[in-house]
Amino acid sequence: MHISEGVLAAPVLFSGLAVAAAGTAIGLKKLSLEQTGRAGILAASFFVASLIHIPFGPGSVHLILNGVVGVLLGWGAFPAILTALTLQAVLFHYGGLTVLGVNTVIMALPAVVCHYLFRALVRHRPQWLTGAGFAAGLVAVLLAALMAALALVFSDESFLEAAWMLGVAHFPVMVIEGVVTATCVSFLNRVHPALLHLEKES
Amino acid sequence: MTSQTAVPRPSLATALVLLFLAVAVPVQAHRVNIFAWVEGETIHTESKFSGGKMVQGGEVVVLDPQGKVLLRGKTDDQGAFSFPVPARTDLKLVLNATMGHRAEWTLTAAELAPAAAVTEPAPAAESEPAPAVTAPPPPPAIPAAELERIIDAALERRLQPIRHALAELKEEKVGFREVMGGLGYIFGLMGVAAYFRYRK
Repeated sequence: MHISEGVLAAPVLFSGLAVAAAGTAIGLKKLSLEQTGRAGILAASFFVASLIHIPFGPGSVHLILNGVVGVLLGWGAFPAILTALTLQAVLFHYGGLTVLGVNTVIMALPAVVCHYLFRALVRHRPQWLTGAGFAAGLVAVLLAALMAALALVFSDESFLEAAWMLGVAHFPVMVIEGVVTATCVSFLNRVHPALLHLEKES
Repeated sequence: MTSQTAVPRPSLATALVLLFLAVAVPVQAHRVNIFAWVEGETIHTESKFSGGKMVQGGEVVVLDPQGKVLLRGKTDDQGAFSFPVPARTDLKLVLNATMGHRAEWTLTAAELAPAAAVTEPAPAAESEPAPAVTAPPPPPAIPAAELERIIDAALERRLQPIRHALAELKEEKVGFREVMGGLGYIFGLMGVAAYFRYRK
């Protein structure tokens, strides 16, 4: 899901940068002391997840984990993902520094959306916790694929084609991340439910 | 070693593999690389995703230093695309692998130069280089220019695999050091953030 440097037009890059900056500001503002440690751990997971290639499917896609990050951090996903992406760009040469804003928005905005989606689902149907986790993990990747396709509209690729290719290529990732998020959520609910429900303000 | 951890469910995996064999779409990853090396009058390129898969059907565009497009082509199933040297200047090779993936490779004029020297004194008959080396008694009937051409050709052949290996070496592989360094940064930054929250 990392868009390379030199692909996108300047207006897309700048709007990405602006949205990423706004999201990060909100995220940092909402991040409590207790959440800061969690953000670090989740940023580390996100950073490493990109090295786990999914061997089946048409391509070599990798885990993203933005669903887990979103569910557990809310707006804090922005600073966490921005940090991890910066380090991926510098150390792994994934994406690049000029596309950092766009790539952050592509992965962090769906994370925030899934945070609220998960919360709304669990509030209405607390017994669906695992299912809500699965949905959050899956939808986060799906939305990220759509956002990437949207960013590519302004280069030469058509939206439908890019969205279809990205969506199909990431289908295995969606399923795996759904399972990962569901497992994570049900485990935390059993062991330390406060982690899931503590943030009343968000 | 990390990639094995991603296949926990064989039945799910088989189902998905079947699904994806049915829907053939180009390869997709987060980073692509293009390598290029010169062999005589031909430039060879190889395009790979960072997962090790070859780029199939990716577009390769060759540009001169002024940004003029000299030629375009598509990579084959092995990610390879070869073409004759289009101009003796610095060349920029750009790979567009769809879905926002792009990579570049630069060939300098110096890399393209030896072949140019070869073409000048050409027309003499092709003689095999082996007897020229193993037969010392006959006097050096081969003119110097011809000899130079033979040596150039032989060297070119011998150096070709080395050039390929050198091109591949330029790929920055993600290793243990990068991962540990990144994790260190993340936890360090987390510590800094926690410190400032705590001070409030």
